[in-house]
Amino acid sequence: MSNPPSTPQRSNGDGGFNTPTPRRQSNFLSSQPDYPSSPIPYPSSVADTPRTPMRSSAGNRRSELGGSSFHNDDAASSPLQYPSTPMRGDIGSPRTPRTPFAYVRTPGNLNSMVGTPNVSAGHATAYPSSTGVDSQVSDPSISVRLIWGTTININEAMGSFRDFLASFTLQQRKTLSNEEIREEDNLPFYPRLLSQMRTTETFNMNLDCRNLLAYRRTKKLYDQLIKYPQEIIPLMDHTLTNYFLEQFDVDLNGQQLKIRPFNLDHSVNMRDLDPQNVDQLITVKGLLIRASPVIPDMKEAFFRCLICDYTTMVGVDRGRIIEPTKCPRAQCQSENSMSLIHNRCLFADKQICRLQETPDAIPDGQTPQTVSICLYDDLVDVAKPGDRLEITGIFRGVPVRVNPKQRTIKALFRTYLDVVHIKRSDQKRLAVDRTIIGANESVVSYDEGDEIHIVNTGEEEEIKALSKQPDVYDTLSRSLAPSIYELDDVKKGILLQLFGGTNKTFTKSGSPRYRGDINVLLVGDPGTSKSQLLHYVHKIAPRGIYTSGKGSSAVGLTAYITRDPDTKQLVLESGALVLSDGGVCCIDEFDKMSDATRSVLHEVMEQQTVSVAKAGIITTLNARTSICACANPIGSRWNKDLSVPANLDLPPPLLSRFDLLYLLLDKVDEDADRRLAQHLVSLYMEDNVLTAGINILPVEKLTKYISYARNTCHPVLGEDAARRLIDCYVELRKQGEDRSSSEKRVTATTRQLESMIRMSEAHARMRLSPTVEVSDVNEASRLLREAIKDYATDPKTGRIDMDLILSGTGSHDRHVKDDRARELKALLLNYESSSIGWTKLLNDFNEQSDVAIDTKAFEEAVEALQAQNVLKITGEGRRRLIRRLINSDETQF
Amino acid sequence: MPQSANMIHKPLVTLNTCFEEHIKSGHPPANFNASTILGDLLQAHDLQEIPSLNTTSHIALDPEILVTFRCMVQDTNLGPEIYLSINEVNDSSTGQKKLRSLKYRDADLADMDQFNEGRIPNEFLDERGVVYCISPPGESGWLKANDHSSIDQKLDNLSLNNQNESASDPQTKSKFPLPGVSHASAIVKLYGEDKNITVGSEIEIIGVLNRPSPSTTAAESGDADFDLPKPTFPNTPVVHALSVKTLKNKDAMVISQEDITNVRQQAKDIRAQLLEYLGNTFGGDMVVAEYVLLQLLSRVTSKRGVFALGQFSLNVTEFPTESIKSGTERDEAKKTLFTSANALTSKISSILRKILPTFVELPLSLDVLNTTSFYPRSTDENLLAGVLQLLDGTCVLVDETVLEEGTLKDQGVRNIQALNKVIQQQLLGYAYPFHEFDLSTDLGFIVVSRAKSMFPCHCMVPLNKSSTIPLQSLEDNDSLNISEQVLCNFRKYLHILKHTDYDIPESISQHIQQRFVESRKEASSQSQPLPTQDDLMLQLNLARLVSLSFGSSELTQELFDYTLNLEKTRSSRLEPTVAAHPQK
Repeated sequence: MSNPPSTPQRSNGDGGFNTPTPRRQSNFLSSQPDYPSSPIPYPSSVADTPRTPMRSSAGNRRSELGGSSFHNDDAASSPLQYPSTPMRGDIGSPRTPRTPFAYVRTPGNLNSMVGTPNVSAGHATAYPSSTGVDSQVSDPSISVRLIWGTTININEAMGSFRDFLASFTLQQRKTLSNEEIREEDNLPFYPRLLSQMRTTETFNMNLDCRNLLAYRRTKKLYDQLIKYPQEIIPLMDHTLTNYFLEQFDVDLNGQQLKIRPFNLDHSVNMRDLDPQNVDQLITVKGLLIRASPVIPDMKEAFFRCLICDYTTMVGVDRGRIIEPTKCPRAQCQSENSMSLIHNRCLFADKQICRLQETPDAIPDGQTPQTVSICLYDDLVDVAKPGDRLEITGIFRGVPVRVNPKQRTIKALFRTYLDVVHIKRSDQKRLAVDRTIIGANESVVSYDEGDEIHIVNTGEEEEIKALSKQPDVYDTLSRSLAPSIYELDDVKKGILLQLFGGTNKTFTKSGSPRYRGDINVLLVGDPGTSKSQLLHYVHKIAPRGIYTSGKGSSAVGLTAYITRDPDTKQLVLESGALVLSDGGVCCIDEFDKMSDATRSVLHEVMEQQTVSVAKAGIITTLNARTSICACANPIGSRWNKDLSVPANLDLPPPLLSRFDLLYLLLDKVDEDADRRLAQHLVSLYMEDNVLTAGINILPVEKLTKYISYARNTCHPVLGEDAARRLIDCYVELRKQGEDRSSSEKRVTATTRQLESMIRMSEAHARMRLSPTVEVSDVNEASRLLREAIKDYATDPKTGRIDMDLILSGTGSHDRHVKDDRARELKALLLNYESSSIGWTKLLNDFNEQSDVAIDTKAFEEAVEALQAQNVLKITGEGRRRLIRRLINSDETQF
Repeated sequence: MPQSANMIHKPLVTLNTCFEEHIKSGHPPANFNASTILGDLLQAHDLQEIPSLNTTSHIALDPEILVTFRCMVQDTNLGPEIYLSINEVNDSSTGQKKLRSLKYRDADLADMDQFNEGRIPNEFLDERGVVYCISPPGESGWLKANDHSSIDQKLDNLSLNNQNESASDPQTKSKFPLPGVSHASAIVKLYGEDKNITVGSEIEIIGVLNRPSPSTTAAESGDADFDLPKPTFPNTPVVHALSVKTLKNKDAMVISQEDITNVRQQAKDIRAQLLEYLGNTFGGDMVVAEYVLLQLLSRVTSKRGVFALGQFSLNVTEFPTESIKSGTERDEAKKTLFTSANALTSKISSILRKILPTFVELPLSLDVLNTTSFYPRSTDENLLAGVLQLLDGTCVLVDETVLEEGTLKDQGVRNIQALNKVIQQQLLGYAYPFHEFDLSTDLGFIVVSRAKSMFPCHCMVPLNKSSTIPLQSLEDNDSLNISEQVLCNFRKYLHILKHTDYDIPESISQHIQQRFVESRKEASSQSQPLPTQDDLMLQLNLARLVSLSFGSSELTQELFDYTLNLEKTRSSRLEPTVAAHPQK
């Protein structure tokens, strides 16, 4: 495409494909007279360091690429003053410092070039022009337009990028990744994007590197971008600006469009950054832990002569501004008269931050590492400490000086990242930063479970293989809390909770979102490893908070408002429920919670929000969390003769919000006991047991599996499954019909139906299946029945009765109560005097009945009658008197 | 032996020679690695000649000599750093260019021209790990003495110098788990694979000592207003490690095969002696002594999920208090925050310290709880040590008797939570910004308290109040003055049996299961509380320790019955008080 000029001198005028000439260049750079005439650096035999021109142009246009120093290192205290990028006033300076290693581009091919300074050949095989790199040094006359020390052919690179801009369509990428292709995807993407940028007047273009990779002609460019970002990015900037100017007739005022590349092929683990990565474009993920204030970084100093008012600008030279010692004006020449005028100097924003590894990237038993990052211009203050970020930038190393005033340096390099793009993986903040960075690329899909282990392709295969196994359900449930014996159904229920159903919103009907989270309550005797199960859930859940009911307050669970000690501003701090948004909130000692605390759970468990209205802040926070709670029965041991609500100190409305409620009872069962004993003894049999781990996934893998499923799989109900669901529900309801009596027990409510749907979805998700099938529904309905059988069985009748949970009393109980009240009324009417002593009445009532009536039941009956205006209670305690308000005749009516 | 003498006193010179040979023999210069040649240069007995930072302060040593340091990795956050490992210089005599190794040293390069004009291939750059190391916290005096024979003067030297040092470098103080205790510290630079050493592990290094140059820090700290300064340690020596050996808990003592057979043969005798010794310590209460002995033998054998199996925490209740009376004692007590105000616990500590390699006393006074931190936390990328950041296998004596009513501040609450977690799950949370990391620990706990402890210990033994010898008269007790030889036996006994492997034969396993099933049936018929999973686990754990204490690596019927009897004795003591079960 290009026509290599025979000599470098000719090259300027002899542009091949669309090579900008200095004149054209000045169109948009003209406002800056200091700019070099040719922004495109050609290998030049004129400059004594061949790369200098290139670097100079890089410095002009991309301040953040030229950035550098942190530690007051003189060699580089301005972004423009990156050692290899001289700044404006510095063009062509023969004394330009360099990065000591920036120009040795020999990734992966080390031993072949020991000690030879001219080592660029190691990389050059692919391109015929690359021979020019070597020969260029020896014989400058056979020059090709390559950037010195790299394999970049300028014309080729710019041409392919231009071509990419003009004709890339999203469809090209989406066919590769099997995404859904919409109609507009067939149109060239970037012209549309640029016109949007023009309207919004944003001058940074986020370049999704997947697009570069998907476009046939730019695959090589992508490669070069990774290896030589310092050279390629300015080229891209330049191409983009030109292209933009051609498309739209606007005056950019000398401004440059900037490329912000992101979505690189793979991200580097912070731990694995090594000398090989220096000066390459890399992506790292991490947590921002510290940020410096915004640093005004002087780029040009403005001096004025105190004698003659002559003014002059001085640029940064290797991190310093040299104050003119005498007035440059020939007529004045007075010494030491130049003084700095601060408000006319040029400054740029700069910020230094520290990025820490995210917890999931850290190997077991290690502590997190950190890396410094440098932010420039409009990236400053984009991220706040605490944000999870995906940073794309150039890895740098600068030598450390022994002393700022000396030239002696240490054999040690300070490393950091010059950031070109920030992607916030924190979903909650997504809305905020769209305006700042994500502006054009609204197509970027942010992973939902950002906190979750990233599955790489190898693991993905493994997970998929695992999901294909027929016994995946059993394997997974076995791997959950392997140290806890038996309790298979409980584990299965909890496993489904971890996977969760799909959340649905029906935007058309405007109805709120339907929760897909499954709530589980474990109730049982002490010593049945409830807390342990909870700990396991906490450990495995992608985002889990563990709290104890006894120690939590309502605000601790939801959100509280504090006043910032510095700014005196009100600050909303999230509590446990909000923090476990998108995960599982484990609450131990659920029954020991105060009523006020428990009441906040009503909203969370059905609406999945937390509303706060206090101290001037009225807001609703998302708390899309599943709740896994455990509670002890009243009197610490389960009373078999009482129903669940009577055994549990929990209000029925709350109880009904749990999809699954399991009873873990400590029964004496010889077989089970023996198996338990055997299991425990086997734990102690040998030190360092290995045997117990058969067919059990390690915790990390289980977590990865779950997060993978949660992220990628959103099952939809199939036709058959829907029909089966209806059948199951009807069947469950039918159980309540009793031929012998006319009364109807409620065996299932819509809440159970919803639970069933959620659990079928969770089961399908566990199989990584896109649709819910009949088998999923069967298992869900089985689990639900098991759970219902356990907890909603009325101990008095032995039949399932949902009313127990819904209202606290079963239908049988209700009948007994009514009977009791009727009998008491009859008894009351038999007395002659209209007032009777409390104790006497109780005794008489007891005599009449063949089963002993406890005080509580009696009290209930009396109160029921009082409500019917049959009687009136006066007095306190045992001295209460009961006055009859009706006569026997009246009842006749 | 001039070569090895040279190696010790001028290691860099020797290394340079080795490097030249290395190149001459045609190897790539980047492959130069001292750890492979170190063995050739040093004969075994030379190791004794190398000064140790554990016993000698770095101030007393010349820079750039070879030193050894047995230490705990406290902080791995200082690095890694990229450095220039090979440099090309012009040899002034021949005028030729020549490669020079910059590995294992902090080199200054006279001018930057090299960076400007010379070309430094990527392979000349290398990466090294930087970690902060401290001498093992809570290390007992006798173990230190094992390091070097002529310990006495050196020990004096150590305490004197270290106090000077810690006074001059405030940063290092907060990096040692036990506040106010003198210690040695160094920044260790690790080369090669060893850079992946984890926090909390014990390592032994041989390396080149380097003094830090103060000017470095001035340049590094820079403009504090704008910058994010990393922590600097201007007075801490730097050691470039030539060789690194990771030490396991097992290696804390040097044990020969002969010792092992001896100990296992004489286990019963030593056990009786040791029981008596411990019994005398606890006022003649043999039951408590027995449980303490079992505690000392416990360690984490395996981790399964949230469980740490094998570790056994003991709560000794009804423990009397005695305030420190005489003036001299008080002065001594004031020296560190970590000396209990209860004179009796201090005495027990001093005795346990005599027989254990690493031991820490943790008096839970409100002051300690509110002012110190039990867990390590990272502030400004500097990991400050917490009291519980200890080596695996350390025994911690938690003294609850000094705890009084009062306000527990935020720090105190966190401390108690951290301690709780370590006792319960053997996990210590490292507080990093925005996240906490749990790292496994293996710490033994003995909690002494007046009533039931607030920590969830595995089991609780009340001290017999009517014991034969009152605890108060401990100091006059002659039976506690025993010979060094016997003490040495005790140490070996504890150390060897602690790390002996153990298993349960199939027949006994059947027996245990049967017993458990029956005991549950029985309890259910008598409507007593049912024996739970936890009870069985405690029994099994104790059975393991009992077997080991008798020198047996296998559980037998008798040993299991012995364990059950022991448990019976214990629960009979508990009956008058509250529940026999550890709290949930």
